[in-house]
Amino acid sequence: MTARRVGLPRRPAASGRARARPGSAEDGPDVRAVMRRQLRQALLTVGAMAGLLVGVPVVALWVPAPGVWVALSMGVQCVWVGLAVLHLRRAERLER
Amino acid sequence: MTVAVLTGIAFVLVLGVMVGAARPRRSSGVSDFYVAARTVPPWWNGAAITSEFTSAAACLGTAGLIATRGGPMLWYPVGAAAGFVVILALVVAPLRRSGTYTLPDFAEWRLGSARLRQFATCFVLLIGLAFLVAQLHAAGIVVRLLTGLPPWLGWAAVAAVTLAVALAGGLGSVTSVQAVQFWLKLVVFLGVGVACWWMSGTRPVSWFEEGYRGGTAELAGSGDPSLPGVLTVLLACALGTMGLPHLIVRLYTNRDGHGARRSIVATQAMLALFCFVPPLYGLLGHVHVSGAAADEIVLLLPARMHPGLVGELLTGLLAAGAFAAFLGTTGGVLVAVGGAVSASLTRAGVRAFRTAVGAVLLAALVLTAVTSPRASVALVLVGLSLSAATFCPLLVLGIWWRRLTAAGAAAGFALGGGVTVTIVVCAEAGVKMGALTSYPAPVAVPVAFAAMIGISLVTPGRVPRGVGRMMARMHLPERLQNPRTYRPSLPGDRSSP
Repeated sequence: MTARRVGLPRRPAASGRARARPGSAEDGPDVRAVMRRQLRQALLTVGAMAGLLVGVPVVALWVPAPGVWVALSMGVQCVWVGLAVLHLRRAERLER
Repeated sequence: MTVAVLTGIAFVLVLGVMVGAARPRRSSGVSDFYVAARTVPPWWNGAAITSEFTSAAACLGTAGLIATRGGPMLWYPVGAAAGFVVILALVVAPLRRSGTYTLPDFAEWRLGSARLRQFATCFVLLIGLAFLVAQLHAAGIVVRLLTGLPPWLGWAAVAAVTLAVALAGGLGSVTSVQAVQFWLKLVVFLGVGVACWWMSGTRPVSWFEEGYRGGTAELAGSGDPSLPGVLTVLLACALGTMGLPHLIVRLYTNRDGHGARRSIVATQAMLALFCFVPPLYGLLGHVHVSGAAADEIVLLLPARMHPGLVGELLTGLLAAGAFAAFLGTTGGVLVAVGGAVSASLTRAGVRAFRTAVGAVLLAALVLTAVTSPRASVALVLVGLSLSAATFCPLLVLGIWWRRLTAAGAAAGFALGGGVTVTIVVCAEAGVKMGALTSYPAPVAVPVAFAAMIGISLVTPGRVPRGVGRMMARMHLPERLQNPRTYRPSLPGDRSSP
């Protein structure tokens, strides 16, 4: 166990690196912070998705034109792509 | 017609074998065999993921439903694509970084229970079989409808080619086969659809019936044109996609979490390209084809619109595209399920993998033979509902919640999966269960989440040791990983610590 810890002091503690040590149940506070930031972003994306996924078919109740339905269903697909690109960029920025 | 159709099918089958064999994998180790040695760029992997996902249900079933049941079915492809937004936001990067190859692997690694792994493998097998039977039945329908030959010839053709490709090179060769098949499928379905539209001259004046209305649902709420029925299917698609065994295993063909995320974004874009197909065929099918089953409408369309040589040629192209869809999904599911089953039963090895692949395919063929042809969308939705009620809570809670325990996960699997299976079996047997029969997902998914959280909270002693280390490994980017926490998956490296 002592031998396995030799490498640890060489890492600067404040650089935001993982401070999780093998065999210990505790990890550094930064893992929790990373998780919290990523979870907040993920819930934002999923929330927007869920709102649209339920909202658009419900709103369509009041627009009984089939042409509009076809356009809406394709428009939402484009929104998914936009949402995915946005989430990718934000999630990667959070990891920098 | 028979000549054109058989030529198209034969072309796709030969292409499948050739592309699979032309890139002989260095399948020296087990890891190569499973995961294509992680040398696949995101857009190529994205095409493979899309190819697996746009199965018979997406190519034939949804368009047929739009034609027969009207506007509410337009939301099905939207829900299917929404599943990838959920995967991207909640699952993909942490799951890739966990370094586990299959869903049962993840369950065992995260919760430290070999028995939970075996329990999870049962559900992987069930979901996989639902997908395989849907593809085989659809292949039978194509052969019977377009050539008049017995349907088992279609099953046998799909089974033989996928078995050959899977045995020859595992996921590596399947990736290249699928990426090629996606582009083939996209070009064929869009091309034939646009050609039919353009040559029809008159724009279709009669739109399908708009608006929600009461209707009968098939399995797992599919084809129900009422608003609650549509929302049920959307929920099952959005949450169930993440638990499909053949999609998750694809993440390991990327080098790291970043690459896996980018693959999912590429998938999203390619699905958006493919989303023109169902409404296009639905509109044309509603006008020109009447009195056919949902899965048959797309196939009958060109011949009904243009009797003669042009119609025959277009039908041959469509048959080729449809077989590309069957081969893509069958290959991906077979390799993923075979890998999960063989790793659960024995030590992972090439021989065990090959045996498992053969056994799973045989089981699917037997199930196809003893059941009557079902709508592909219904069968795929059974798989998606089951996955939404089992693997979705496991993945979401396992990745984001430290206090999940093996007992909680097992309870959630038993309740969520049990409720779904019971509802589907009762609906098949004709037992009336009221509204439950039509809407399994809104019942089973909350039940599964509640059971996992509740039982985990009352068994705090069973939270696995080293959960902080696992969280660090899943959530920290690779370059920040503690070198001892992060283990790049090496050949023979099994996921359990």
